Amino acid sequence: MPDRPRMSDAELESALGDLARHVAYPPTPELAGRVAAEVARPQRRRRPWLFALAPAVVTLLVIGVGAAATEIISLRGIQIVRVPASAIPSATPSNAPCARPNLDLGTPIAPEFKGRIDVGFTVVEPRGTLLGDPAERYLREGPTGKQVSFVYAPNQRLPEAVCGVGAIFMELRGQVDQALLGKAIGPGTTVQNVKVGGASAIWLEGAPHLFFYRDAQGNIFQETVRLARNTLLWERDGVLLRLEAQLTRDEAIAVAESVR
Amino acid sequence: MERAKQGDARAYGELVLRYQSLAARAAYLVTGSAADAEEAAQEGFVKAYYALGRFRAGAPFRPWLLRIVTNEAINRRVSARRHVTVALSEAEDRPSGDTALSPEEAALAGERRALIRDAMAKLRDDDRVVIAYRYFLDLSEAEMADALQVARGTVKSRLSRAIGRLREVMDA
Repeated sequence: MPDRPRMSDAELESALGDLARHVAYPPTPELAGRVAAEVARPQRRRRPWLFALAPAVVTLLVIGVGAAATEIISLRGIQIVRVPASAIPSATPSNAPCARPNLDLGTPIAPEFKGRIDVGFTVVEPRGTLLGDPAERYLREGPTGKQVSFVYAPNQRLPEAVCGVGAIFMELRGQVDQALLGKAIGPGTTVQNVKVGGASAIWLEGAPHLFFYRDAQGNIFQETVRLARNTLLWERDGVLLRLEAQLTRDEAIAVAESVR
Repeated sequence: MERAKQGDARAYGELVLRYQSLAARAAYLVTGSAADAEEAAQEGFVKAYYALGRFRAGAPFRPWLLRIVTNEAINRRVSARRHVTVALSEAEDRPSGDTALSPEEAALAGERRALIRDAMAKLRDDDRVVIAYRYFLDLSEAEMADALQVARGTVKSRLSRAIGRLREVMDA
């Protein structure tokens, strides 16, 4: 036992206050910029709180601002989960004159890439006349495998969604057993179960949104949706297909049903 | 806060600016390392951003953020297996009025601070956190209840228990 006199409660409290005033805190770091950069990074974020959600299915997360309750809309092998507000990108496509944003679709590939590049699944394309022929094709290595994207220029029936781009059609293989695929939407966006060729599909109409992917290890990655426009999602032979364009629901479904 | 909840990144940036000092201090008190504290505070803000959807409307942001940052800091301290020894300044003691302490009094005060600091370093994380919230970060009882996720009545008992353990360490 030390020979110091025992401090009273009041003395100890006072001593703690004195100690608090003498802590030599490090200089306050400038965190605002770094935090902003972190949250803006695509594919960055794991969401451990989502791990409890249906691990055996591909899950779509729809994050609606202000939504108080969780709502689950089931689709074959896919669930949309509406949860309260989250980070919603605010980028708004601009009218001409414009600069095309970086769509981050990957590496441009030649029109004749099919059969030459193994992407791990059979690549399909819309065959209808609404989109016309793709203007560009891209290959990207995503967290859960290769992703193929087709970019379509605006035309008389296809409004410009962002500078010089009318639509994007993307396809990727989802890791159905272990991967989590999510999509976030903002206020004013509606979610609807629809049919594509008799199969279930999801129609998202409205504001910008985010995607979340889950890899085989259960990690979740965030990725911004490129056009932040109406989006149709459906499955075909184990491949998740996504059409982003400023089209009506029926137009988008018609495009989806033309996919071969 | 509401704008940040709606996804306004600029509004969230303003919250970071407002609370970054508090968050960094809290993390430093937990980790005792400037580098770990900085990382914990940053990661805490990022995690808080992604958890805004679960933030209860009208609730105070400060204790909620502190809880996230503190947990992050504890995780880092545990990983580093480091004892928490915060640095103390050599600022002159002027406890009341403008009268400086005598050299002997200043030496005694300095010795007492080092004693308590070293005793705090030997406390469990949860005890150190509750003491830090109250005496170092000046959280109110209500804020402590929010940050610790306990009832307000429990805050007093938690604090009393932590102080008791601090005494035990000091007396050992």
